[in-house]
Amino acid sequence: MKRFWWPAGLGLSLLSCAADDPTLDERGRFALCQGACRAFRRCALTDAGCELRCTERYDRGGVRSSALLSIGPCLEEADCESLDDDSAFSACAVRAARAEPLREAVIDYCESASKNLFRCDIWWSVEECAHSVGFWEDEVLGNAKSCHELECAELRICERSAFGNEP
Amino acid sequence: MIRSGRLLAYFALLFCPTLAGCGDGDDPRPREPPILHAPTPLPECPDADYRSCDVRDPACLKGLSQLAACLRHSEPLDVPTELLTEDAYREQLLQSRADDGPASPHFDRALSSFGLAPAQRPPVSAQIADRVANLGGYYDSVEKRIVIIDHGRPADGADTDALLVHELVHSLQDADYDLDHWPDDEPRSFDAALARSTLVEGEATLYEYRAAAALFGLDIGEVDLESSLQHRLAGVLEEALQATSALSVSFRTLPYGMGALRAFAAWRQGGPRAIDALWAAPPRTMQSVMAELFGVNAPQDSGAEIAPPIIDQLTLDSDAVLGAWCLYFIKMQAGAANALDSALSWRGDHLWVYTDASSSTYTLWQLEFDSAGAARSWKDFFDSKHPPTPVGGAATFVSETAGTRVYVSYAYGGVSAAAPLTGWGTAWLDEPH
Repeated sequence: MKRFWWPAGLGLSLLSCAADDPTLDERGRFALCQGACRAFRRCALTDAGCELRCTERYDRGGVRSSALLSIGPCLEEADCESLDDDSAFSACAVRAARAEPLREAVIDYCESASKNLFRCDIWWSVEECAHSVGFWEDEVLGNAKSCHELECAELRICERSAFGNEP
Repeated sequence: MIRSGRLLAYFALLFCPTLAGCGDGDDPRPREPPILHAPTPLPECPDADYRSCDVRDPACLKGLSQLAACLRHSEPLDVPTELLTEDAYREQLLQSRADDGPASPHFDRALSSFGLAPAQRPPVSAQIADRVANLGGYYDSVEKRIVIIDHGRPADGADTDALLVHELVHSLQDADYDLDHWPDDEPRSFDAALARSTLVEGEATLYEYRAAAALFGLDIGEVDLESSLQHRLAGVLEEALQATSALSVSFRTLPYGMGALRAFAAWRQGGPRAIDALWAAPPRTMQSVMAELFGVNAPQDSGAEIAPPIIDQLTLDSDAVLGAWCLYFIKMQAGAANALDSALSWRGDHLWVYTDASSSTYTLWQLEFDSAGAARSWKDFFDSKHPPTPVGGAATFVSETAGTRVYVSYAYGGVSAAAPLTGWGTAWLDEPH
């Protein structure tokens, strides 16, 4: 059975957005980098320079800084196998998404996504969507929502692009 | 449908970007946090409970039973429901197959001659693995119970609830029609069984989708249900045509996609009562299902009765009516043009498979078409795929036409032209049709 893969690469796209709270951005970046680097180091996957490189260069690519505050500590507790095969990132992202407060932008996106994916025979309830996408910035969700007017094949490609993944 | 259960398995945090980031936008905490909107009831069942619930909870089961009954205009039933792990289901299947003897190789060999199956059936373990992986749940008409296979999806997910509605509809169908004996106790060919399955699975799938829309928090009035079902059809056709076996995959794909659209078309005209009319006159051929669905050729309620040839020298191993779907499969696998038109010119068929003391395999497939031209076209197709001369001594092939009838035969086992096949070739050409 085919699976609908959800676009969620973090960190490669250049986004311009307001900088109302640079401290939150810094704290989020720091939390993520610290947590991930400590875990990678524990698993002998990186060296002492990880945090510096990460905090200097990491682009959260549309992920809310508040989400990074929880993803970092979550990664720090991940086992080496899940870090190595990347499954730790999915698991921590799920937890972060569920911890984010429900917002109008999330509801708007999810009601549209659920309805339009349903017409493409892709099943995703509004509630499950809302529990999954909360860590994306409202602007990203808005961009993805604009894809929902497209035909099914184009819709999936468009959404992948909106979430920063190559089609 | 494509389930979203592994959406987040593909998330990845990447740690090698080089571009600068940016700060957060406004992140005010609202005084009154927004909430998800309450489910919009289906207009035909305004009083049902559309909140997602755990299918292991008796209250949930009761609520979904009432929803299924309402959708179908039936009385609700109390049906035991079990959530079974994949391992437990696999073990159950292994035990049920433990006493099976080895399958006769002749039928599979015959099907493989026409590209309908691999020459050798996959091992039982592979067949079971395929079934475990692809089955969401089932209604057991003997034990009158429902089993949902736990593939790791939440038991309280809306899609699991919708799946349960599907199975509950089967229990209601069983109560009305006694599925094990419906519509009669006559032996059922592959073609007839597949055709009838489109009604059983089609109705259940239609109601599953309507329930799912509401359970997902959608307003059914704003949902393009036809588009959804068309995509389901496209998906099952793709899956069925990519399979190596036309028969084994057909039952778990085509009835859902083809049947749901057919049921929806009837439902739009007259609701559940219009679907009752389908039960009163169920389809008996895949030609009729496909002709009606795709608007090609005239639907045929039955196929021509084709008398078996009188073969004294050989032992009958198996026989089947394969139908228009198998013809479509053959043409699509071959990349032939006009596969649908060609397949739906079907007016009947019968495949006989024989063996002898040396366990050679002989197969004769008689096919009836709507015109002599269609028959010649099919003979030419078979000839193009299977040259009428022995290939490495492995098989001999003969094809003939007589008006609207095509005869195609194979013999395996290094049988020479002087063997019974030659006499057989004469015998079946003399049969009236």
